[in-house]
Amino acid sequence: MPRPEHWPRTILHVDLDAFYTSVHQRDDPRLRGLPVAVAGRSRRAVVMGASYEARAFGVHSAQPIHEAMALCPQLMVVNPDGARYRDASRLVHQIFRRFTSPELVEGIALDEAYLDVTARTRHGTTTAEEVARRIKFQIHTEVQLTATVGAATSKLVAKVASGTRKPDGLVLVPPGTEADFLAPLPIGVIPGLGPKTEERLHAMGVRAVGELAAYETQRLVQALGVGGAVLQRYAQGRDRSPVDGSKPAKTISAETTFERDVSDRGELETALRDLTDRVVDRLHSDGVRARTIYVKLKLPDFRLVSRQVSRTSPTDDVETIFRAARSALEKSHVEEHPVRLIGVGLSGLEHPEPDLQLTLFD
Amino acid sequence: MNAKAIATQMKVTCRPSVLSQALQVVSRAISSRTTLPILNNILIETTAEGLALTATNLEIGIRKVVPAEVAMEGSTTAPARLLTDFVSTLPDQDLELSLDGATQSLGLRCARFDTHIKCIEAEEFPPGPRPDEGDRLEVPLDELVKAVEQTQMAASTDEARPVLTGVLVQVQAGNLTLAATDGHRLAVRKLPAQGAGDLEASLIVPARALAELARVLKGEPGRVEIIISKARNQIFFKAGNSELTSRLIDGKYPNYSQVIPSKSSTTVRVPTAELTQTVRAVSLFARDSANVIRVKATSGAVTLSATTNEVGDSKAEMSAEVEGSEIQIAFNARYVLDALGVIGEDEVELLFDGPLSPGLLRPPGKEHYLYVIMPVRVAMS
Repeated sequence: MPRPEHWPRTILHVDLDAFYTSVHQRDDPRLRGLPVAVAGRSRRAVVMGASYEARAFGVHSAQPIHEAMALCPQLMVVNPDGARYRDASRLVHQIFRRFTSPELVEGIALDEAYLDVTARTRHGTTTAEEVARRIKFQIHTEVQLTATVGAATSKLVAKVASGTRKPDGLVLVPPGTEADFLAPLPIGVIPGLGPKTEERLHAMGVRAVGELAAYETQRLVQALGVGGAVLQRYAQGRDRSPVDGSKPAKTISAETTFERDVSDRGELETALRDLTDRVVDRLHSDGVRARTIYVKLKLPDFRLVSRQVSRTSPTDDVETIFRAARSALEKSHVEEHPVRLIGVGLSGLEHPEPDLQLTLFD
Repeated sequence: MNAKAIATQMKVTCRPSVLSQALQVVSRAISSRTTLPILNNILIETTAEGLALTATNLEIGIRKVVPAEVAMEGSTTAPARLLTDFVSTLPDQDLELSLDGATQSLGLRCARFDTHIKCIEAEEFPPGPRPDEGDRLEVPLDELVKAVEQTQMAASTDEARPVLTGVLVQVQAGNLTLAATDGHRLAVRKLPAQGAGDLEASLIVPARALAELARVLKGEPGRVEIIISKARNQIFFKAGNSELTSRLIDGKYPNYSQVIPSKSSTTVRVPTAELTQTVRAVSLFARDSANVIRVKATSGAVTLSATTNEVGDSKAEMSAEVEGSEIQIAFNARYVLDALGVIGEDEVELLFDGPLSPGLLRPPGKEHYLYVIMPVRVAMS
């Protein structure tokens, strides 16, 4: 048996396939096999997500819904259901945490994450491929969704890899083969290389990643600035950025627009209590704590007022957070204006410290 | 009716350098975000001593009187930022301020400048509490400033527990005691007061207000008069021509005396400067959020160490007088440095009573200051 190759780092990029529509197709058998798009009700709504069946008609994200309907008249349009997406995402993250510690899972979006599973593969008892397979299998059996996984020695290559074989793919880029893997791909696959830069590179005769990798660095910097050199390093498959799950989501927030403007303090506090419960639920399901609690108010003239309360130590206690939210409300609502919308948000989110600062008073 | 007499109100002459300094201090009471626009202004009034400047955010108020020649009495309120910025640029020659009462336009004439600033009537300014009645006591200015410096940094910035954002000011048996805690560390400083008589009081003063005290009273002579309002909702600090007012925080302060350790199993004595320098260096390797530095006391030596996986590690051993049993304990380095920075003694005594019990830091052989730190629970190797 050949000795497994040595992976200095084993990074997985896990991308759930057509996430939003897949969740709806999973829960509603009538939607399976049909072109489905998720979009709001308004006539000005845009497509948030499209099933593979819909993509075959040219339907894609960010497309105005009327355009999508013109391309695919039989398109099934469903309303977005944030709670259901978050729930599915939470289950998937629970699976991730079986394979590595929480601070080595970096969520990019509800349907996309990087995992550093180096510790799993280091001693040769298991391989990157095996870990990727098991994650795919567990997501499929437990959450009934399919995922595409890219496995490589860096975030960059793992992400490009997963992008090359969707849906339900598994792409392995073993150490030492990164540059060869990237070389034939179009430059647009490199994260951070936007349409403008792409156009400029095309004008310089650079179309494939390999061409960018081999281009004279000085001329590249002249044309694109220092960013050009960074893109070239990426093109060569060089990316040392760590998987950082210690700063999880940036904020968790919830808001509600009142049917009519509200100035009654009691009514505002009731809404505040409800919103606090909602954000704290999500805090708990993400397994993180918050340092900063803010309250946002929209006044009838659409003016936004926002105040925050910061704590010295992060918390996930619902009463503490509610008290903080109430004092932020007091700070922002001194003049008893009527309020059109109220929102509560948590930021400064972090995973609980393994070291525990003890307290003087209980 | 004499229209001209009504049209001109207030005329004073003063030095821009003196006025500028006072404006900068008084402006400290102005909140960057206020819902009441008049609070962006400074109240300017002529008094027997000169020109009085007052600013407030309704939580704290600062008032300073600058020497001025008053030709005509009057008052107005001027936008703090503009006035402060403008006066600070002026050459130090006589500055004449004159107010047109009808238009509330404040003229400033100095050297080659002829400037007019739009003001708002003084009547619009919220009347601040005046320290006329209430209990009074006196303390030496430099001692009060030092005591505030030694305690105020231990107060919490966590507004979810308002009482801890204040400093507890206790008057008892002719002594003034300041205490502050954020729940993780506690600083207590005692100083003698005069004229307190048998007055007993326990007040919570916002740490933010006390943080301004040194700046407000700077350059004033000798003693500070402290006045506690009858309603027990305001405190005044007054020295010379300067005055700081603060509202008090409502609520019950935790009984801090019960968390001051009464016994210890290890006593360490080290030079303050050396310990400070060592903690500062080693703590660069303390992991960023909990900022943990490990302390190991053995016979004749204290070893400090810190590690962060992605950064590296550092260890330093310093000789020390160590009495009692050996100990390993961990602290947030910032809390340690905060105390060392204000203790103001050549040597410092550290008392421990096990790795999970509060540590005590104090000047050796003195009773006026103490600082308690709760440890961090870590996996000890």
